[in-house]
Amino acid sequence: MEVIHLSFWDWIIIVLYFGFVIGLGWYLKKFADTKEDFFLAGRKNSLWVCSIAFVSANLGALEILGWTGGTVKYGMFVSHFYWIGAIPAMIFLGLYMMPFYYSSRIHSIPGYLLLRFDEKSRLLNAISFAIMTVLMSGINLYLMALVFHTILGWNWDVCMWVSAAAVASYIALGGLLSAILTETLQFFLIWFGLFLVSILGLLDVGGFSGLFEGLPERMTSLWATAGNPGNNPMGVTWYGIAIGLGFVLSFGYWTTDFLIVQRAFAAKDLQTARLTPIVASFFKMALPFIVVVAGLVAYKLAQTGVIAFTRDASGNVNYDSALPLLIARYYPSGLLGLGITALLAGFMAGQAGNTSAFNTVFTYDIYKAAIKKDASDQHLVLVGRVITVVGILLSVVTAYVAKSFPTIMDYIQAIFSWVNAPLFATMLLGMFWKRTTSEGAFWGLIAGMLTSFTLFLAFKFKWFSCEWYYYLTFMPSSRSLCPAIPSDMTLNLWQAAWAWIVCFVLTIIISLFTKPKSDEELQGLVKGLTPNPDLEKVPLYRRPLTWAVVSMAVLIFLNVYFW
Amino acid sequence: METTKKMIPVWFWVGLMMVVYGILIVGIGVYYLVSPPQGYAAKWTNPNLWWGLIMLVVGGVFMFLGRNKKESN
Repeated sequence: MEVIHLSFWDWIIIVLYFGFVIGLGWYLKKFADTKEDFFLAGRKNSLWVCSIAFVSANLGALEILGWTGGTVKYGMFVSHFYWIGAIPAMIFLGLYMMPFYYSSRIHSIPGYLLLRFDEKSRLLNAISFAIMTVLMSGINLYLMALVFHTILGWNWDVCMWVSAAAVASYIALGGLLSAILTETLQFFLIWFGLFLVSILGLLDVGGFSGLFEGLPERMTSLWATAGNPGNNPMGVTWYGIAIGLGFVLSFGYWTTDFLIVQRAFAAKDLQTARLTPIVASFFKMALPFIVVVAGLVAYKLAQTGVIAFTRDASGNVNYDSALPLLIARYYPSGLLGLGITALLAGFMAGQAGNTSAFNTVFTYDIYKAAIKKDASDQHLVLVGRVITVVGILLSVVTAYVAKSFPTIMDYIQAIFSWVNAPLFATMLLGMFWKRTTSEGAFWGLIAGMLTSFTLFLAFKFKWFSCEWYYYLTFMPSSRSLCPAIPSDMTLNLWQAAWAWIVCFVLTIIISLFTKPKSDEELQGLVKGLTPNPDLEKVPLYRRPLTWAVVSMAVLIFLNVYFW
Repeated sequence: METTKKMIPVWFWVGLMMVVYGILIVGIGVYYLVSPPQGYAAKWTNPNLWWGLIMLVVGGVFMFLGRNKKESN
């Protein structure tokens, strides 16, 4: 594909956005002087702001580009990542886990581990989270620069440094408050900048009926082809999706990833914090109307030779070029600037989310816990500001490493499931089984992370014979497919599931042989020792359960409708 | 907190951003009425005009809603 050329007005729109978010950072600085303001956005935010920020922290530009391209490759199966792979976990967080998080007045997820278990579990999680966040942030930075270099011909270094500097400046100035408010701006920019691609695409191909006409069932169904991994392009089974994605990966991410959950901690009260992920679930469910519709339009146009995806240096098709190709096809000058700004804003908000979570965990769970226990409020805010800049610089270094050694990205992206999948088992047991001990949690977590890491290496370097791949992914009847091994997606899902199982089982076994904390120490942290939120005076339409039921009903309807 | 009460709500900023972008994009759309651009979509619609107008209206509503609230976000 030829690079897209921007007009003067497109540039004005992009520059205005940079001016806008940096100006907002300066404006918010005076509201972010205390540690509560800087690290928790003052704990005074409304339901709508928290919900939008909650979903936006996950709504990076690379996610949108990646899953639009993913739709070209996998069809509507991609919707699983937005529906069953997100909604039940978000509802579970709001209904059952948020009371423990919010009521204990913690600043971070590692902070909960300290209260519920001990210092070593907190430090293990804080350090692994901090490393994961910086590395992921660096990968995102590299991929973002690569995308803009490819589609717009922008200079790689300038693109990276300018966006990194912008994020560093507004997060260092306004902390989480800046992150949350710019995430709110970005949410609207994404919808106004990219939804029009789907609308114009649908108009172009003759509406939904024209879009689905002639497409094979494997591209347009959610479950109909999930009975046999050979029948769907993702190569997964229905139980792989339900257990690996719908339970382990999804719950691991949406309920324990501090980057996401931090947005609910910033809510003005417990009721708002509980509703935050539940209301966000509606926004999340709507996203396939951008991502999947655009992906299917691109698939349809590519089939008829109207558009042609780019190829990388090795000749492999680059499906991520789908959305930029549609933007180039449908957007004239003006809207083009808006579309590119939406992608940039999406990237910067993702970077800001990483940075604000990193500065909080580093300041509270590493610096204050291990370096300066008696630090004052002002000192912590200063450390938060400095570490914001340091974190961004480390991301830039990671991006340069990734640029020099692209294969390293596989390892860094795998870190995600090393950390999150087993942590969900620890949290689940910690919150709902008071017998769980500190020793059980710590060693279970270590074992889970090691399991995930070992399986990643074993799958990557083919340590097992082919049959074992099918036993480990619970598809023994498919081992006749050898020497072909299961798809990467299947291996990722079951790698996380095994990590979860090992952590869960080992934590229980060790806990049964070690001394638990007393009931007094666990007040407010464990089910049965935490008072239920008083909802008697709350009207039905404001109750989390009401909206959780509505959200689940919509989820079921969508799955049945697109079965 | 005293500072909290003085903060301009985020909805005002969201509205302001959309109004500014809406004005720019509608302006470009009007220009395209007299001088249509090259490109596929422009052959059958002028998306700058109608999408820009939608942004302008939605942005205006957000600014209106956020105008007098001196509360938190």
